[in-house]
Amino acid sequence: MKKTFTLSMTFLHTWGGLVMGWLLFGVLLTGSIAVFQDEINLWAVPEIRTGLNPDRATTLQLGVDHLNAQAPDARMWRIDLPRDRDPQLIVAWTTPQGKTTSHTLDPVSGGVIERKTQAGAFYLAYHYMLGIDRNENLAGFMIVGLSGIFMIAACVSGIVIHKRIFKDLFLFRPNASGQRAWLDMHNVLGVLPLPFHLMMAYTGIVILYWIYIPAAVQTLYAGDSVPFRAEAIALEYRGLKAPAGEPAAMLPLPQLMRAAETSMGADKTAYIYVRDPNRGNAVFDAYRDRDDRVTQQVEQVALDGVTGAVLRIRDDSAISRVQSYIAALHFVEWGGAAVRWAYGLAGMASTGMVAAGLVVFTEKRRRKAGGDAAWLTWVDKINVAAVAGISVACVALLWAERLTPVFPERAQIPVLAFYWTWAAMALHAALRPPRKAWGEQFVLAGLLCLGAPLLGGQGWRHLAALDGVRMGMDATLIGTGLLCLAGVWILHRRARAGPCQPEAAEVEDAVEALRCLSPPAC
Amino acid sequence: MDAASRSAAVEEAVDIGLRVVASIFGGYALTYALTAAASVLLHRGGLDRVDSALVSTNLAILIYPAVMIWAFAARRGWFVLAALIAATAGLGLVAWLLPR
Amino acid sequence: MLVAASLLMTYLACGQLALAYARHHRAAFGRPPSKARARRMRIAGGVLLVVSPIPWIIESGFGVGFTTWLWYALPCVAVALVALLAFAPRAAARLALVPVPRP
Repeated sequence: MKKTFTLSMTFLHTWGGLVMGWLLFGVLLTGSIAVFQDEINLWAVPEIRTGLNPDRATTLQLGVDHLNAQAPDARMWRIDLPRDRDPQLIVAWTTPQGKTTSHTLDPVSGGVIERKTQAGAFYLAYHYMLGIDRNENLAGFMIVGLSGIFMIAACVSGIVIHKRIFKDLFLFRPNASGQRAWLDMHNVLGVLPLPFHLMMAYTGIVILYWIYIPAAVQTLYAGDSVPFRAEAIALEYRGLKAPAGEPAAMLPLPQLMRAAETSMGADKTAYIYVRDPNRGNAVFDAYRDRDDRVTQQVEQVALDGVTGAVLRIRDDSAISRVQSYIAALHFVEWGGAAVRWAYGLAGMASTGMVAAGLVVFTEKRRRKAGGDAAWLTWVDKINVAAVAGISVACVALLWAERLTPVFPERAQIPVLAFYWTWAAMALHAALRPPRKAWGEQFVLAGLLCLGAPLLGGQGWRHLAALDGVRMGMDATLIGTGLLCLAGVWILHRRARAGPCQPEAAEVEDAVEALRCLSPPAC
Repeated sequence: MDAASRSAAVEEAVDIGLRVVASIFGGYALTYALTAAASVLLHRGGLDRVDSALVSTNLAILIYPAVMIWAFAARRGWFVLAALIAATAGLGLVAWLLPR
Repeated sequence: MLVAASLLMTYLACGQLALAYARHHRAAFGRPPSKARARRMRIAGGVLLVVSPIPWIIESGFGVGFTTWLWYALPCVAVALVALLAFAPRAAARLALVPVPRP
């Protein structure tokens, strides 16, 4: 395209990075936050009791009793047993008309927890679907997929154009001139975790590969994804097409669970499906926990609900297992807190890389233009909205969670708060000069973070109860808030200090820049 | 801007536009067609349907970012688009004409 | 804890590798390393890097341990090292147990 391959890649990386970066920042930020969706869920619903360690058979029976009281004639039951960072008991049922309802129960008392929330789940929904339910419209889902593909292209083009990739491997000069320091940061956050970026972009698409590219379903299954999913993800026992059988007594579910666990491992059942409960053709399907293996598709045992006979033990092909491993690299539902933190921090490095790149774009051109070209100011305003704006919205969601009272349709309100806050921040960015808007929005984000633990007096309650997970969330919020405020203060001070003396390294960079053949492309 | 540099600017804009279309839509089309062809060939080669779908799709995905890179590295934008259309059509024929 | 041991060893490894660079060595110690010292540090760093996931693997099994170390923990530690190197190169060197060069 340009005179050399490097210049073409510079164009792709710079302009593609700008446009896609506006989208990718939000995707990566919400993805990194969503690593902790279970913890966020716990934080948002104070009624869930932690540290109970109830007997699993008793808890399962509580769930069954509740389901028998609510929906003995349902076509399908689902029971999610309490697990390490998900200590609630969740039961759900699907009526013969196809409507699914779910209740969250206390695992010891069996009482229904009225507060419904989408807190953690929304970050995930935004991350891979931009908040648009893919069962209704694939647009958000596909756009995020495209941004993932671009991310791979951006990584490759970045490697091509980063001439001193090995020399500058550990280089960060915070005191260099604005653009140089930001470029150093972009390079460090880009290159050191490069395998992580490439892996995450690819694995994200591998998870739901057949929805992104339905070609194989078209050619091999005549476009019908139901038999494909039945074979690929073992949803065989979820089909509701066969009619329900005659009423019959099922074996007690705790007994069936114990039988299933002889092959899955004791206490390893994570969730259970029962098709056509209390009928002659009832099928009990136990799914194994994901905590100790790097795999997304889990072991699964299906038993006849009435006789207890083993109907099927899931056995994946080697290729399926590879896909499952690849998907698990992206989901990281395995391992303990250390794994999750390493994963979340690595995700924040990706997020920071995109933000730094967006800032480099405007800083570099502002230096060259020598003034404020109007279009550059607008690019900067969009940067503010895309980076600072969505950051504020992410915290605003948590505030809305705390402030919304309990009533049946409350779950949507914090989601709406997210979008309205983002819109307000975008408006603010449009009206204010970018330099001021950056600082103002990140100060707001910082203050919201600091304030969130105090809302409703919950922070004190967490301390009093020594609730580890919730205190961890509060501490993270406070730490993030302080980081935001510190960052704004540091950058504000640097801006006030004025342009600094170029150092030797900057001179050598300038010389290198002069060798550039086509200035606008660099 | 005089007439000559204005037309050069338009030419460049069109060229970039073609590359963007090629990288986004052409890339998807090629990935789709490659998946289709590979899935049929793998299945005919003895792999079961699920495994064929898995291997063909997850490997073909890697062609998409490669197309994006090529779309901007190649000398002419229209050539990229034309090549992608031709390759997609060719692979599509392979996929749909071969008996499963 | 074995996980902490892995993280520490990873930091030591990255520290050795980073401080073998003339620029960073100069920032920490006032002068670039001799060729021999640089080569020693790179070898030490390389060996430490290979060995550092082992405690985690012992703690959590190969699948979880190695996967976490390779894909998530290593980049985090490397980025943390860069931050330390940028603001406090001598502290970064001391933490990486890199000895002050003989005069």
